[in-house]
Amino acid sequence: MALVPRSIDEVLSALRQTRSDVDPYADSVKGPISVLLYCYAVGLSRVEQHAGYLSTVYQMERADELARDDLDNLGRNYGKNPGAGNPARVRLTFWMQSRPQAGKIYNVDAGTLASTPDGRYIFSVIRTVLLTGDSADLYYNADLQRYEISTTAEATATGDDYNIQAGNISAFIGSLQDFDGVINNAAATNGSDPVGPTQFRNVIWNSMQGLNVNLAGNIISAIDRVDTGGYDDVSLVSSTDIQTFSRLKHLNGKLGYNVYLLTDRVEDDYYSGTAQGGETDLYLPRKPVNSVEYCTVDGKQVPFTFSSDTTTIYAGSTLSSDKVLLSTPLLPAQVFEIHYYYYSLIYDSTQVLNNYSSPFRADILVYLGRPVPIFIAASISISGVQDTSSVLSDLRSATTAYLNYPDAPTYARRRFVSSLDPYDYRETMLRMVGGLAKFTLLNFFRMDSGVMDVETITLDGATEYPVLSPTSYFG
Amino acid sequence: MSYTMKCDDGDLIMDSTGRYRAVFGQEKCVQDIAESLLNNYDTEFPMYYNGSLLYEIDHNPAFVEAIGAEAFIHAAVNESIERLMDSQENDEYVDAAEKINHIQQLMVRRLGIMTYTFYLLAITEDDSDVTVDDFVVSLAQQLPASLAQGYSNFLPAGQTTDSQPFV
Repeated sequence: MALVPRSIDEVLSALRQTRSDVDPYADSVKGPISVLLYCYAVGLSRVEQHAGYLSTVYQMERADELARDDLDNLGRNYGKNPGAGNPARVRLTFWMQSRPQAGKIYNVDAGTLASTPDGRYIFSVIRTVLLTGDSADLYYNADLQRYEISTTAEATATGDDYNIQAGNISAFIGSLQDFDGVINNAAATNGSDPVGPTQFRNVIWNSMQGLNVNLAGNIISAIDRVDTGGYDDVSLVSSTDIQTFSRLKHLNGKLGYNVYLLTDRVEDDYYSGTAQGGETDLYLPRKPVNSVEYCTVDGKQVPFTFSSDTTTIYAGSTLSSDKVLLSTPLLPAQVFEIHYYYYSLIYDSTQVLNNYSSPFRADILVYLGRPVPIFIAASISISGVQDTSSVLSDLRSATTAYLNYPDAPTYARRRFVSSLDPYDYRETMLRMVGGLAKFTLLNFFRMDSGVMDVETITLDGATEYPVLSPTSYFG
Repeated sequence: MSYTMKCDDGDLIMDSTGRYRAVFGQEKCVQDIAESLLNNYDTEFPMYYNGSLLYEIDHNPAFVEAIGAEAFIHAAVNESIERLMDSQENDEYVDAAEKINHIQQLMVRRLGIMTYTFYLLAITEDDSDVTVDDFVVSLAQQLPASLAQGYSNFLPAGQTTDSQPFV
């Protein structure tokens, strides 16, 4: 029977009742007996509150009511470390106004520190780069009329507040000889806070499903071991689900699982090699690839096109054919280097899952969830006292939150969604966004297969998640 | 007949055989009056608060002077006794020797700058007298009368809002 902890008053009432049942003549409402009962009531109530708390710990149902230390210790009992979050990474561009001198080499060493102007968010360079004065023209940025070199830096602490907007990291910590300034041309990404209580609780639950990765729940447990809290949502499609499972023909009747993750975890990697001659397609080793930063041939940056695999059944997995297309074929013995970002959780967890050996091993492949652009257009009117631009901004944020998780709109975590109801969307917006006097939905459909202006959108709840199309408009 | 344990000078009293002494009737009435004056508690929930209602006073002594400390103490004693009478009313086992019928006389007198005393004469149901005499109230004392109740605008006399009240 679940214990419902009583307040001091409730315990005191019960004690008084017991006291007067035993001896109705003893005054338990005032006087020394009442004082004694009150003392017992305080102690008993405290014990009951603690017993109730232990019950909450035991059940782990309401994770956010647990003290963080208790939850973390509980996790350690099951071999789960709560994790400290991820440091953000950013591409920093160091620049100088005057032309680099011929014969001189300018270093940006690993460990060089740059920060936001207020010095609050500090990033440390993790890869040393050299600017050679002999080939100064390679580094010249004609638009800004200065010489630039870029490298990757990592935040000195974890947290999503380190995901700094582009252009906001512009100060050196200490001095950096020869260079006049630093800037981040793109926003810092991948910074994350330590995993939240509910999410960590789920990790503990999953861990109890054992270590055999041939069972569905254990696959998730194995991914949690790779990066606790590294994904927003996960879904599994087994080869028995012949409607959805994409690799049926490739398994020869073996049991298989497709795992779909919603994750933003990316890491960078450098792929370099020596050409045999004639290559134009360079297949990147770590997939799926998020973006390509640059491509150099013999130390000089060359134009390229990043081709993301969108056609085969392996798109979004480690078997995808993500590649860099060069406009000019490589010559024999030319050395190329590509700096690119790949989805690290997809890559790492595939490695981990494939490292388990078992005679009856299931064929497991991890995929990136498929984003489905949703087009929304609405005509709105705003109540007189509200600022139009702020209401529009709120509406856009609330729409994003709704698409992330329609059942409980949240800005932080995305979910796989199987259907979107335009009526529910409109009701939610009227509830969430202050200052909306009127809200008429003009368009609400998925851009790849919508047939009506406003319709109930159906998605594959195992593999697809909705994202707001950037062309959507409110006004 | 209702009884309780004998309290004297803040402690329970044992007899020569090592048993707690019980009080009832008029003696219990006296003890309950003393407790009502010393402890500001209500027999209804929320429960029990330490400290006397006599010190539940605005922190500004000048204010007390203006409204008249005598009137304040008179009202506080009156309220304490009426609470006790309400409580007795709800207890079917209280007998005539213990039950207060009415307050016959209540006089407050000034002793010093912030010191007062009062005389209380209550009559029980069986026409016995119960008196409280020479009960000294010093408004300069820093007894945290009502702090425990969370009345932030109430502080013990003599304190300022900036100082940290002791708990």
